[in-house]
Amino acid sequence: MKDPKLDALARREFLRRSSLGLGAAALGGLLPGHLQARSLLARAAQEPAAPAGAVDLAGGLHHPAKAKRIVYLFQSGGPSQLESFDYKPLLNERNGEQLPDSVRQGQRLTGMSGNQTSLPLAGAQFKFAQHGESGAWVSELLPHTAKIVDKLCIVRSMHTEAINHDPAITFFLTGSQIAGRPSMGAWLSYGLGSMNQDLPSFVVLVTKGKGGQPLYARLWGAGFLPSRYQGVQLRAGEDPVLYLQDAPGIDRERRRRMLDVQAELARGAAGESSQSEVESRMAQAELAYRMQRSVPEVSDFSDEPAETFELYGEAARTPGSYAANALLARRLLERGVRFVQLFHQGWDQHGGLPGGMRTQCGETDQASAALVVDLERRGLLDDTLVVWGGEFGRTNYSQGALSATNYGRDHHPRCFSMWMAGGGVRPGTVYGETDPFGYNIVRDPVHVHDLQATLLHQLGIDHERLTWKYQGRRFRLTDVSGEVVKPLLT
Amino acid sequence: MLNLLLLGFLLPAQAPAEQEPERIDFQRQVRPILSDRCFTCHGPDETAREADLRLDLRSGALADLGGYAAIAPGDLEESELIYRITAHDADERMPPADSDLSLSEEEIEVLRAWVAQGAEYTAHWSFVPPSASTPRPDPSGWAQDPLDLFVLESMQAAGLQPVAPASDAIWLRRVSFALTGLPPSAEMQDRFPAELSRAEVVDQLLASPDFGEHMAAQWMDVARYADTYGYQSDVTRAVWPYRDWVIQAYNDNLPYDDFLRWQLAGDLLDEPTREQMVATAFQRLHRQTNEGGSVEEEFRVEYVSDRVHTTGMAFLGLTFECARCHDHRYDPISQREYYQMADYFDDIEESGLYSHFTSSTPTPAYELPSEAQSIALADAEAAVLQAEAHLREASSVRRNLAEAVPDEDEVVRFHFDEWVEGESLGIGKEGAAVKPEGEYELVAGRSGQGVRLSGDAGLRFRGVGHWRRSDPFTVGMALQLDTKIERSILLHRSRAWHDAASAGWQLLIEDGHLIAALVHFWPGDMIAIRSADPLPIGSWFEASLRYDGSSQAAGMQLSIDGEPIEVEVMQDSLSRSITIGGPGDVSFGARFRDKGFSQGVLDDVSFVSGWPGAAHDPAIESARTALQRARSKRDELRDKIPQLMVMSEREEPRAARLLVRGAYDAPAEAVGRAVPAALRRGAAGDSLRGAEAASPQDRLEMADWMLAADHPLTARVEVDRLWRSVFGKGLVRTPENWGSQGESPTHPELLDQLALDFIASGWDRKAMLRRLVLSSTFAGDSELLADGAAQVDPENRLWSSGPRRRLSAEMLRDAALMHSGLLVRKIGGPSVKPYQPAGLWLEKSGSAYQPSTGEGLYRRSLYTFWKRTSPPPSMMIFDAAKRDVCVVRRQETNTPLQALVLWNDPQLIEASRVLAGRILSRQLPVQDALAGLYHELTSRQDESAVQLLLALYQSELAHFQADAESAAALLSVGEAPQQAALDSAQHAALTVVCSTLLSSELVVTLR
Repeated sequence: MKDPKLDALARREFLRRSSLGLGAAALGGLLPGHLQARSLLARAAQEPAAPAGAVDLAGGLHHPAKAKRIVYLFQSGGPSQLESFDYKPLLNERNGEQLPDSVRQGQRLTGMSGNQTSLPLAGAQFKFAQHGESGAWVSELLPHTAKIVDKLCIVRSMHTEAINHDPAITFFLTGSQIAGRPSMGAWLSYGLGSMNQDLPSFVVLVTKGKGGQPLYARLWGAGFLPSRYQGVQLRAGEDPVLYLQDAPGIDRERRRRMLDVQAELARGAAGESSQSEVESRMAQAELAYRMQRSVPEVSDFSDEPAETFELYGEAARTPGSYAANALLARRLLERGVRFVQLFHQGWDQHGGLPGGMRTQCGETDQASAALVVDLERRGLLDDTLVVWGGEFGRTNYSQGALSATNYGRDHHPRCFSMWMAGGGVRPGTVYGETDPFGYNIVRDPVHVHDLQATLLHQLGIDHERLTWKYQGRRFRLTDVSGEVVKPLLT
Repeated sequence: MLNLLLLGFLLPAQAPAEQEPERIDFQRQVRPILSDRCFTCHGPDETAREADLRLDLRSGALADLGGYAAIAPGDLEESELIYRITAHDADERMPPADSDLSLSEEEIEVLRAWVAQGAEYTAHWSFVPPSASTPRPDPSGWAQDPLDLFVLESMQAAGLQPVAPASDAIWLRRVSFALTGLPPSAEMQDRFPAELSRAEVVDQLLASPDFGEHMAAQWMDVARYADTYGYQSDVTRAVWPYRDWVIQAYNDNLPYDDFLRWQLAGDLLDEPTREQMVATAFQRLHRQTNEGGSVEEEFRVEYVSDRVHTTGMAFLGLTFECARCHDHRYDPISQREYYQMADYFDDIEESGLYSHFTSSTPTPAYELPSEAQSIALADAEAAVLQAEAHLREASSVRRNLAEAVPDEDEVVRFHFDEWVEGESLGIGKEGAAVKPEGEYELVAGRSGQGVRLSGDAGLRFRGVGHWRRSDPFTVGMALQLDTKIERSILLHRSRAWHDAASAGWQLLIEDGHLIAALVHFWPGDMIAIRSADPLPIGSWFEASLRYDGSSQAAGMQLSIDGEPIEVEVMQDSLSRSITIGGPGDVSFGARFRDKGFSQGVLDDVSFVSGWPGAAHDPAIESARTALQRARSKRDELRDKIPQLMVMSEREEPRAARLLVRGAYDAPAEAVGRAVPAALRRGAAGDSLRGAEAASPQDRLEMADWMLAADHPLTARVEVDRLWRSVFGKGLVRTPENWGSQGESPTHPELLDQLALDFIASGWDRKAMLRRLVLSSTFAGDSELLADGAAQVDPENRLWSSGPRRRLSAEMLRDAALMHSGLLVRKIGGPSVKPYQPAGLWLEKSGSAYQPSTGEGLYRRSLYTFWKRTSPPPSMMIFDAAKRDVCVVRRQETNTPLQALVLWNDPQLIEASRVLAGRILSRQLPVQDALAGLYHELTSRQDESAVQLLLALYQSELAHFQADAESAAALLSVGEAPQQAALDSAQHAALTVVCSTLLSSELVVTLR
């Protein structure tokens, strides 16, 4: 017979200390009763050690979910929309002419080009063609992406509020330019919890050795949410998760012995008031023990057939490359990781844009497309949302001198392009339009908060209702705005 | 029933319906409901207010809304509010469905009962000054301190009795961590309780320098202390003198009123001391950016805002952020009041960008010379004064210097007449040459040819113009302007505009006026003058700057066509080098990310090094040379003195403006300085002391206002911080919000009494901590559960059990270092870089983490280098605050990553190894050694635990005896020397035992 006193404590401890896998419980336990997560709470509470997939969230938190997981391919630095998806022949026709004031409308520029006397329009020095049944325009820099346009939903009318990297990328991934808010993945971990027993629910992968615009831990941080919701970075190398590998001389058997002794010591010393706390801590230690096996296993590609590397490219054999991370992302998603965030730096072409774009696209095009194809082949694309994009776009005029073979583009928050695939977004779609100068949006603008609201929506979350009370205010990913962009959805 | 009643008291939002006959308490039961569910649309924010109804004031609730009112006191039928919250029609129901808010049945009952009882309002508790009360005496003798009486009273009201006290050993461990962040020393463990009383233990701990380090470690979160600027490239800055001041302040038991006053306004005290100035760095520790292309004003506004937020949070527990863009939705802070607060923090000579190309300390900066530097500098200053006197003497008997005209052979002159387009122009004088950096055009000049530029590329001058601030010089140029110019760089020697903080010398046009400046860091460290009249348009003129090498604005003279002109001094505070940030370019008409010169023609550029007419008089010449040498020597000394960012008021107030929607580029009217009116009023609008008088006029008066005895928040907030520091949780469970959305205190009367005692003690923090840790409340056994506590008080808010908490990130690491004997007890100095997994910095921002060697690996965690964009990972995993913004409470979570750190952080493995070696070298019987180890690490004695450890030791010993390689590998972790004399298998086996214990729940949780 259960002791009711301990039961009450266990529940309290459970709510307070539960970790990976139990995000939904935290949601139900900590928010006032306007969420429908109670049943989830009850179920999860009964089965804290349920096998992978047992916490079935297909029903969604607030409405039926179209997607169970997200892989977000973040292209850091601000990839140029004008050399990728937003074809503007007028810029080639008027190459070298000054940006008309009627187009700029006095909007602010960065301090980098804002004091330039001359703002010469710069046409893309790459060929564009229409592809697929949708007839989407894609530049020659992205041949692999071009082949799968009918699986993509391309948005050419993204816009954001920030004009410098740090505020812009922070805005994109936390919903606010001010530091200290939880990241998108942390919100999802908190809201939805994990679908697996052996891996974190939010994993971050950064292309190794790229340099360029810096990244910050806050981009995958938990902000004021409990820190267990923060992203766990998997890194190429011997310690894919920080401190994962046991110390030299400590083998698996030693670790097991140590863990067993710790459990016995702790249980022996625990009094009436701390038993559940001790159990909770031991449960986390057991999960750590399992991760020591499951994480190296997921990063070990030796069981992948040759055709995988044909699909993703040979670069996928180099740990830490974008291609390897794309493949790793697929393996993580297969194992029930909820949110995988890739970062690929180097898209900040203030100068030397033609060469820079060639390199960047060469590093990412094949693997990005391969991931979509691979997920589809495995039947995962339907409930996995793939997102590709950076923190802002680039100007239609050249920063610095414009020559026949070289130019640069400054930051441009007023319009840029992204794409999504799978997870209930409408394939073969091109959404939104910019003016012939590629400077302003003329149709169907999508604000960053709209995109965030849409992503949450696909996961069965009402962005206005996934909140956390901090400093007396209910915070949410989308701050105070954001509309689900229904036309993007099936 | 008693339990239910208590729950209603504790958790006001869930007060049960059965309590109707009870008097409803507005503060604890009603206000939280109204605030959370109604104020968003019917609260203080006028712009968000719906239906012209405000419920945060009684007058608003009772106001006539056209024949009816939201609340008719005592009349449920006539109260629209009651009708609305119970309406069945979704269109009428409040809160509306789309707000995602709702009221529970219990909450509705509370509101009904409250209205029925007359709907009385009282001011929010935390805005009313604390009041004294006397608790019931305790005949049982349990209470050690009056504070225990308050605790006992609420415990008994809930039907609980305190549990038995923890053992002496556990108490010692608890109090040692609580006051020093470290486990008790072996010596103290030996002497207590036989030779030392509890009070003596506490006094020793409070007197130990470990105390200040431990308290400072907590204050670092509040001060958002970091060794880097944050944002994008996140460059290193030396602000550790502030951290060291905090340690010292705690160790010296600086009264809290001074602690607050110095950090808020040390610079405004009469003749501030070095410590008082250093304390003001508190307000400069916010993040700063140098990201290229950022708008300077946008970020300057951010910094000012951060000061408002941090001041509000750190000292008052209030969230001002909300009022930045609109009136606060919950608390009585209007947007106007937000900017009135901002006005106190707006008036320093600050730039929104720190310098990318130089490592200058952003101004205002304060010099921190060593004693030797102070002496040397004083001597050098004296020498300069003497040399100046000599020169005056030599000059006055001969001729007037100001009128001196340079001999033609002293002048390096470019008149562009022989220039052939497309070639660079050399003039054969000391290798001087001019080279265009891009497009240009040769046009008709003042005489012969002149130059017209594109604005994006300038003319670069070689072999001339590289002057230090001790070098006298003259530059001139002929200009013809097409139009009035808003801004344009003219002639300069500098690397960039904002990106180098304008370091160098420069002539430029702003708003049609000519400006000359010698700059170390714009705007706080420079001399700058500006022509009183605008420059002529359309006609040729020759502008020149003559500078005498004095580093003073008075030593600069602007002339037009040879006639000195009237100028105004913009800034007169040059103290450091102007030749920083690389070689710099001497150029005209363009500068990195500055506005260039395209609206006019340039001709006849001239450079003169030294005083003009130098060769005419050997006596003067020799006095000049001596002076220049003396100044140069002084400057070199001064350039080496470290600086710290501090507060210092600029001469002319900026007059902060309200920013519409918080946007830097949408300034509205100036608002003046004031503190929020609600905090100047007590209950029912009573005036507080000083409220009738004008609002504080500066930061110092603001500090005085906060420290007034009847200020409702300051003392409470600090007392609660001290309580939290010792007990793990505060009396207010939402220390980040003392406003109407925060939780009420668990023990309101106790909080008030402690606050009053604290003020009466002269804000003595050590005395307050002493009381807290010597109380019976602190001494309870944390493993025991009082009868009934699981149902009535599952969160131990009533403290019937003793405090229990997980050790903080700092405590965990520091304790392991101390147990191992590796801990280096050195106070203060630059931050250090202990072990960290390789590559973390590199993959984020391209600079590599270079771990310290030797003692830097073993300092207390307070000294660990804090890089904001990549903070120390093991500390972050244990819930350390990021230090981007002010944080007053850390999370306490439990994750698998924490287990991994405890198992595998080399710092902890090494500590286990060294600890094991230390124990082995004592050569005790194994059983005794393990019993001693267990006791030392956990303060417990437990035979069965020792048996477990013994079994572990023996199995590990067998393993390592068979596998010498693994033993050697384990014993190689860490930089500390190997203990060669020991048996490897034994050492490895005991290392495993130590690691098992150090990473166990028994050590990690402070019981």
